[in-house]
Amino acid sequence: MRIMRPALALVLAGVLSATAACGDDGSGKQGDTTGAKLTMFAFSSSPAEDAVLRKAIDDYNKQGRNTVDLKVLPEYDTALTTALAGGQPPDVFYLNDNKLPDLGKSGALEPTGDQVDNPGDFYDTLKQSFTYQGTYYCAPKDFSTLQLVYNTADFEAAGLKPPTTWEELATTAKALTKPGHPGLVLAPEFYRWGAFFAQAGAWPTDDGITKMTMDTQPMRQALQYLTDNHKAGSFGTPAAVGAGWGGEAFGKGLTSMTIEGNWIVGAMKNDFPSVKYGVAELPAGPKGKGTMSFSVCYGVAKASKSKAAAVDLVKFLTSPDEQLTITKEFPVMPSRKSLADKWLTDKPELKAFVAGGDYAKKSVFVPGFSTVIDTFNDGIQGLAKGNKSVDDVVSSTQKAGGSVLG
Amino acid sequence: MSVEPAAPVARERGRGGLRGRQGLAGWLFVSPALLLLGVFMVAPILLALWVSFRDWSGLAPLSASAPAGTDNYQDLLTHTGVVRGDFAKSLRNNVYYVLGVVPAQTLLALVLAVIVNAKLLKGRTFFRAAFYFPSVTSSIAVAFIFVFLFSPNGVVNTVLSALLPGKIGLVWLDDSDGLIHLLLRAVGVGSPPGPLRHEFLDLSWWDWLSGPSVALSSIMILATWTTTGTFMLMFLAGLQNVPVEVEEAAEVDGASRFQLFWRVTLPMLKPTLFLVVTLGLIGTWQVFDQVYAMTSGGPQKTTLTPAYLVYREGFQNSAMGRAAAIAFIVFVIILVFTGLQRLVLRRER
Amino acid sequence: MIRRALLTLFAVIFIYPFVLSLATSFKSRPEVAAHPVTPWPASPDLRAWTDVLVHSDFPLWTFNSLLVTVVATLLRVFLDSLAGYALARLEWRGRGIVFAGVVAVLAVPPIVLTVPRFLVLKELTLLNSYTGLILPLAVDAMGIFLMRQFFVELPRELEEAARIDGASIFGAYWHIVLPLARPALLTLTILSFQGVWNEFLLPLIVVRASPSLWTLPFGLSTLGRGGAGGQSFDYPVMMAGSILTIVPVAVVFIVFQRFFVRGVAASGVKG
Repeated sequence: MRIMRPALALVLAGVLSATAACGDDGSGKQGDTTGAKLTMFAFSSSPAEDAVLRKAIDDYNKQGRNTVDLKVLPEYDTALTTALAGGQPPDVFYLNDNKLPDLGKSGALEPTGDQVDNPGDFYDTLKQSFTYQGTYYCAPKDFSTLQLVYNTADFEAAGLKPPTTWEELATTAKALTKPGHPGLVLAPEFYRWGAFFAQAGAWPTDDGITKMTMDTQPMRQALQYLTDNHKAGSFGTPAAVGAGWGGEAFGKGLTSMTIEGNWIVGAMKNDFPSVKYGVAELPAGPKGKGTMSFSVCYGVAKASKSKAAAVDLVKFLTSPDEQLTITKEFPVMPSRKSLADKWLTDKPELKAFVAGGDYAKKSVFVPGFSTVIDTFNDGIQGLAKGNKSVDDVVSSTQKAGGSVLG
Repeated sequence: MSVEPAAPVARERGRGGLRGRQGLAGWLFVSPALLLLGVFMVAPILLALWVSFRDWSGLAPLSASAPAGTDNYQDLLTHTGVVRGDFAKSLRNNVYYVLGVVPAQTLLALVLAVIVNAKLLKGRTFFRAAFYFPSVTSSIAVAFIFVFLFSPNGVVNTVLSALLPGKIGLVWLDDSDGLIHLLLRAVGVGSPPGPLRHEFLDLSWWDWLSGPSVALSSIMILATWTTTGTFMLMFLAGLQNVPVEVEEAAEVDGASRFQLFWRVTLPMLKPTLFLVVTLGLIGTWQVFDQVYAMTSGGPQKTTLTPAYLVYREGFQNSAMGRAAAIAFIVFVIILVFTGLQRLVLRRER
Repeated sequence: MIRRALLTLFAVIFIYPFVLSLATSFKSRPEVAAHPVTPWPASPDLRAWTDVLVHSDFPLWTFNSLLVTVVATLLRVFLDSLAGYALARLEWRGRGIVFAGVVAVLAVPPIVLTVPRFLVLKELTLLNSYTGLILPLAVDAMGIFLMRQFFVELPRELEEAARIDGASIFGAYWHIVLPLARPALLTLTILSFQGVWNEFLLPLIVVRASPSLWTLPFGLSTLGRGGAGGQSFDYPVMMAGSILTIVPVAVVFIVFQRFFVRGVAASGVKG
């Protein structure tokens, strides 16, 4: 057909030029350390975090080496993926640890992990989160852990103390439950329920992520425990009480306990300053204490034209001074070991979050594993709602993982 | 659709100069439009067809992708696994969506059109405008309004609580229970009988037969609400073609109003009815904006549609090749409906 | 009587949500929670409106939407009518096949183009640009089709007279035919304005990562959900944003209602 010819030619020309351009990627020079215009992508969980980040970038811009255009984006992972797919990635970007395997495999990342000052100062477990097939890609920004956040007034009124075992958690939650007000609200997803798996000694995969280990007694026990408590009404989901996430349900007084990470501190300060709360370590399960940790790193795009300048920015942001400033206002934990004590002296009330760092499990798997987590989340939602059985969830997740792990 | 050339103009015959000029002008006049249609409609499809046979994550350059043969299509249709299961869920959801929305919007549009078309109706323009207005507004704005209406202590629950005994506290947009499952549960069938545990495309027959979830039903209500007005206008245009004499003659013969409608009006509306149904079928296979703004495919993937799956696989799960393959399967489904429509319309003529 | 009651009931169902969202945008959050159904705010609160107009990029999104809508609509009306005219009135080789091509493109559903358009715009390096937002919407097969149908039915005498008087083909089209085509052009303008203004899928893939280029529907979709922020579902803010996005189209709708009706009737006949 005649009409197709010019169009095809155009597209082919486009493909060819893109191919030619790709030849420069990676092998090209790193650019100068100064005088560059950098783009940075980030996400923010609250206006408070937003402000802290913007201040840090302003400080960097004032030093006059490079100019950074900061973009704080909603639905961050999709925005980042879209930018990478479009071939116009930001020079520097936040990268969630669970996305690292996918990006590491794709070759979209420039390995810059060791190019920051004193790289040995970072926690080894965090560095592992950002290592894919032996390459350490990016320096960790900070980390958070999940712990139990409880309303001190509610606890005092009921004469309760933070629970330390699964049984105590169940009875405490039950005691705090009123109509439309479950004692504990937690989001029905792997990134919350995972803490209970850890406490039961269960995990979706083995340590080497070579095979699925869903069909085990501890996993069934943990799933059953959560399901039973949801069924009893003493555990609830944020959506069921009309909230978007656990912190909101907690802040609005729709529950007396929730399981969230460090980010809840900023949100409480900002949106619910009058609610008094405490943070306790999650109760121990059959196999002792357990929680999950989440981390973010500063990724540098392989396709960046100003990698040297990008590294300069990452160096600035990961410097001890800057880390302390950032994590002071928005209390996630610094990724540098040397800052731990200093950080904690400012906020002794948050020591449970720090304690979790010693025994936390991470949600870093292999490329393509997100579909397995999706399937697991479906199941978890079904268990919380009561329209799926533990058997169904175990077998569907086991099967989903099998097709990814091979 | 027939492609009849405009009637030749006798006076221009034999004036070669003008014809030559027209030949050049014709191409010049259509070329900008053709170029843009070619680049943004035709070329994309060819490029995507190619991508659907490649293993491309979208994260690295396209040129670095590896050929994948028919893997993407096989993952969706023949290989057992999550991918096929999700695709099956999206098909199931969309089928229920079509089965609910198309009859509802067609029937409602027809009823409204007939009433609005009645003689001696005061305020016809107002009613016509009121029914049509939702159709012209932004899908995202309307979706937000419905998120509010369907919120746990929102309008829908408040109205239902007033009408029904007890307090209705449905969490509409987060309720994954299928309507058929709920019905079965009400009569005591809470879990699948043995034979229904078998799977087809990685989804058990019990789950195929779930019915639309409560969350999906909310989106279906929204879709009916927004599209009814457009179809009502089409029916109104169709009703203009029903000669008044025919109706009057039937009325003189003593036909009841219902008989009149059933025997006289409806048969004459047949072409419009057919048009409305096929446009409905084509439209309902493309639902995306509402899913994006209201539920993102959840809860438990009960609002996942093929259209949303294309976006999710391509831009969230970094599987552009697979996304392109899904898009092509949706394309084929829609082409079948379009082809059907054109075939029947041609026969009508 | 029953008829009227039924019509009124449906009019309420179709219009009340808009009234309610307007009212909700003036309520405070506690009031929304306590009285979600009342169509007026008990104690009017401008918090949501200041949030939207002052503390969000709403003005910027509005500017982008206006720019993209105006440019794309002008282009679309001009190019569609030009092509429609050539297909209806000019005689040239290949006309039949081009028209068949246009009709074939009519059958392509936009959703199928999500990934492919992204790919083409990427290869043309038009992602994250106004051009990338405008060009894919600058021509549509339906518009070409509508204009062709209109021109086929237009009497020929005037333009032929003009041509005999020595006007060029474009001159006759521009000075004689277009003024006659005003009703069709207006219908096309309005349909295009509404379509481009409400377009969501294209900005979603083209300017996803460039907040300075977001148009209203995409910007709106990020409002009030607060990311993972302290409070999600800020209904007054969501409603204020929705109302503001709807208002321009509503104004156009009220003024040009009959052209909307004509547009639907015409596209319905297309078959």
